[in-house]
Amino acid sequence: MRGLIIKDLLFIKSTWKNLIVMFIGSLLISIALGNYLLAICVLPVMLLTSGISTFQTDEFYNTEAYTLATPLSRFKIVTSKYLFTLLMMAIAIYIGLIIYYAIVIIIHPGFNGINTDMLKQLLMFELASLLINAIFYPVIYKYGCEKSRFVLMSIVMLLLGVGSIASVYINVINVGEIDFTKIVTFIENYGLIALTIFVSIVSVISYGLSLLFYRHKDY
Amino acid sequence: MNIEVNNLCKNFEEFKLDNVSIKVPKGKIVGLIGENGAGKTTMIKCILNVMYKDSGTVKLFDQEYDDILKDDIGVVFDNSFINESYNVKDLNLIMKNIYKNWDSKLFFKYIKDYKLPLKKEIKKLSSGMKKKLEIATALSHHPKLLILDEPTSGLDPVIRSEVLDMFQDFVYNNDNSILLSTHITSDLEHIADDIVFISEGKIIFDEPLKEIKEKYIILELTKEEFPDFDKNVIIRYKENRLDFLVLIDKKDMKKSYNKYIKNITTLDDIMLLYIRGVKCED
Repeated sequence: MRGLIIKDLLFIKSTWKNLIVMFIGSLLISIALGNYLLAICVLPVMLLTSGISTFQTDEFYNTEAYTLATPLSRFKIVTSKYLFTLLMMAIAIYIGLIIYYAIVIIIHPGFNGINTDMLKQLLMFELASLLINAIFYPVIYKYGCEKSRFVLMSIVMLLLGVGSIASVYINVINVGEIDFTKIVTFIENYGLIALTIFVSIVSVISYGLSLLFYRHKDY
Repeated sequence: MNIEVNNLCKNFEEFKLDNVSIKVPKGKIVGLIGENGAGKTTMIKCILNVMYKDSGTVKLFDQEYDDILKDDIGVVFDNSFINESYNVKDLNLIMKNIYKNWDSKLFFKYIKDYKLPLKKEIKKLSSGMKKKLEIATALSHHPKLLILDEPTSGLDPVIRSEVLDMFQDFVYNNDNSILLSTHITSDLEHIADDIVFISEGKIIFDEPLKEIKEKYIILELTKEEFPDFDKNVIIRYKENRLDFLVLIDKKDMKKSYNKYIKNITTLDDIMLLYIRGVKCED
């Protein structure tokens, strides 16, 4: 299992030049806007979503068949992908914090726009990235990388379509009666915890589905 | 027995592997031949559990299939390897964390012998070099069994000969064996002990190479000679522009047929006649 995690980490290593260029670009945009959230979030988010890119390269080089011919079980192959993602989450948080403090201390010592809210936002971005991975992984295991994008897009469009039609004909919620300040306050107070719990639940379901799909897949 | 496959079936929409049984004994090289799409790769994938079988049994090293047994198997696939943005050193790092018996020293010895660059990305290597890297990887964890799908494709004749010598050295240890699927049947004529011929998902024959060479004979008959030839002895025949190629069993050979004998009967010729040839009753 460690071998597969190393394989994926080496892939990330091979993209370091692009990641640095991306970070420099986001830093310049942040300086111009006077808001450093983008510079703090770009690298962690890119690292987290790189899990999906590792599937793409595996598919391109037909590595799945080769991996299955090694002594690794299908359970270990799927588990390694999720462990890799968790490892990337830890690295992403670490890098996010380093960038945050680097901006505060080195680049803009007097800048007072950075506060704990920004760190909260960073974590929320990372959780959102993790959620994207959790949604994508089982679909990729089922349909492969190429088809999974279309499958997910079609599901999203279908849900949006059904929701739109339902909103026209079924008047369950009176939007005028909703107290949005309460929602904003809830998000401010409990948003991070709620998102963490939600992403954790989705990730566990995602892991179970990935195992199920991969167990039945031929390469 | 290092591989024992019994009544293996795998169904696809337009193709099926039909009740296939093969054995790869210890100390032997078994060659798997057949046309494209005959089922060679499907069979290999089913043996390795890369593809699920619908029915039948696969035993490896006289044991029921288990993933862990693949620690003793080295594999070269026709079109499947690792991400090619890695280099040889990266590959060593990955493999030593996958295979229990990975031997970095041996791996780098092969790399040196094959004159492969250590830091160059795999995608920048020539196709022959890539193949050599795959073979080095398959051999570097001291496997007892090699399962090779087109391992010599893309190699020049000199390197191919070196690789084939290496395969022979590998089975010199009597516990080791090789299942080798290839289109280059001339490779097998040099090193294989047994030949399994598969066509349209069925085993046509599974015999020792020596017996095949002793058993079959190919005759060349002109268009005028063919109509009078005894059709009962013909296994398969193929009409060419100027002549007929006829496959017969050596036991049916008569003195009068000597003038028709084709100089050398190769596995390729036999395979071609079985696949593209016609049975007399047809």
